[in-house]
Amino acid sequence: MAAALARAGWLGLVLLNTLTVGLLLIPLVMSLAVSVSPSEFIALPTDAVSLRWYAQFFGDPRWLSALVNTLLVGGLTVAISCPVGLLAAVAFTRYHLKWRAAASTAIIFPLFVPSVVLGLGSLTFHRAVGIWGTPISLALAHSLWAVPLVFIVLKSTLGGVDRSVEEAAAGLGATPLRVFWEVTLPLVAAGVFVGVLFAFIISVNEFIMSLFLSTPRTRTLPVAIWPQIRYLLTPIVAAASSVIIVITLAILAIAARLVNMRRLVELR
Amino acid sequence: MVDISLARRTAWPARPDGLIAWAGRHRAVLLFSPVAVFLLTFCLFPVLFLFRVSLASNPGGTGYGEGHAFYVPGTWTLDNYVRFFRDDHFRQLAIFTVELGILTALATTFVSYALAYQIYRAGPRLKGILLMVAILPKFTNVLVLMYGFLVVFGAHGLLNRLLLATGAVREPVPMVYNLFSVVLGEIVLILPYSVLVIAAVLHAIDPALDDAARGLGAGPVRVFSEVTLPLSLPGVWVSVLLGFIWGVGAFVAPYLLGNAELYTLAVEVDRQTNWRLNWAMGAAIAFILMAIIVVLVLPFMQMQRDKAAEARG
Repeated sequence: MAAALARAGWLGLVLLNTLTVGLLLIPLVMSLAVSVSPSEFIALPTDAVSLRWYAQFFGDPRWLSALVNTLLVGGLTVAISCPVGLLAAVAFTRYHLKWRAAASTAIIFPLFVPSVVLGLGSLTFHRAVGIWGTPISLALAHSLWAVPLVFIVLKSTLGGVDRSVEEAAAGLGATPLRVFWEVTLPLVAAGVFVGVLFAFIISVNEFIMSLFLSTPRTRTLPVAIWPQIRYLLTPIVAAASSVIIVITLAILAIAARLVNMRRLVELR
Repeated sequence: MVDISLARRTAWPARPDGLIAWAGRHRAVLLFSPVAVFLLTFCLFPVLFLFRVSLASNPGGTGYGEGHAFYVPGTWTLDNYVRFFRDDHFRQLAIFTVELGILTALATTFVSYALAYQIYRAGPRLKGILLMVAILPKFTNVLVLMYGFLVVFGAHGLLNRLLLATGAVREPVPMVYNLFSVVLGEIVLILPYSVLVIAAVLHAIDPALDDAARGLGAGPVRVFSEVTLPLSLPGVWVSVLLGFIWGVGAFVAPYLLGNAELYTLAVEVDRQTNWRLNWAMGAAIAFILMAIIVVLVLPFMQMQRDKAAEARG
């Protein structure tokens, strides 16, 4: 009786999870599939594959400038968030910090503030200090999300470094800066690289803060997709979406080669 | 364990000049200061500034009245808040937003727990695959996900076209723009975090407890309900908390997969700010949204802390 119940329960669980996995995967796969359809409408490419929507995407200066802005803001986000996150992670793992718990909470705090609040807050503040409408403005907002994630990744990577190697270098007379530069940094290079990739992915995909902060000159891809998505379900949106998916998947594939994803999320 | 800073000081004579000596002694502070400055300047200040703007008066009309775009600097008024609490429309929005937050939190946690539990029980290969699938949405654009939803389930989407083509239905079946689709959309957006949190807690359970319960004659159902589930509750609470915080802040799913009756406070912030160009009102609503989260989440966290303290005795 109990065994039958257990089996039924497990079956129900597997069924529910199959639906969940479908819910997670099908929209992505369909976006990719629709983007290579020759049809004017949303349709699967049943008898022919066409790159016409990509041709239209790469032939339109508005989409192209959105793509360039996206990559530029992504690069700036990496440039801002990685040094900041790295230094904070070093402070956490190598030194005794007072207010450790409070500091850690403060760093991840922006993740728990609704994006519309951060977006509109940044908009009013950036306008007041005169950086509104520049790519830096978007990159600073994206860094609010990127810094905590870089910090978390690097804290766990730095925590895994064998301290005796650093102590040996210090014992041989290396200055702390040299120990960090020549011993620690090479040891955590993979982690730093993953941090860079995560920050870039966060930025490329961030939408809500970008919606508030972008101006016609700094419009990123997600913001350019936004007005098209609700009323015009044309496959050009699928092509634009697929460009983002391809950028993200390529970066993830690189990251997966470098580190064990399972170790990163700390599961045994 | 030897602290490097100590090793350094013995290896390197202290410098006499004040600033550098101070820097040498306070290296942790120096390393931490960039992030502190960053958070103060670009997180705290914007939120404070948002509050200030919410207390400014509206430019009126198109948003460009009186020569001031968006809000009138230097003015102090409670009008925006008064308007919010007087207006039925805004009050309804606030109530619905909280309801959606609770619904999202519960639905996401349920679905995430199921997936996390299978990840916990799965072999290494399937574990890796499921984990990868679960965190995929986190690395995907929100809009791409929502677009995929519409492509599949929309009135002119693939599923409806298939149904129409096969003659199963005559009219497109409405599958999106309702509460169900909004919640499904929110689940997809929050699930990666919830699954990770719950899976981490499940994996931290000592497997010996499992074996002990089974050795004492408990069946798999009892092992789950009396060992695994109670021990994984901390993860469940974190998931509920995350689901609520992000569900209350929901913007994209209600807007793209809902209808005017399923709009949330976050959608209203966008409409006031980006459509009506009334930043002051948008700021007031954004601030109320944040206040709702703080007021509802803090007691919940306090409750959890009390419970944890009680459990420790």
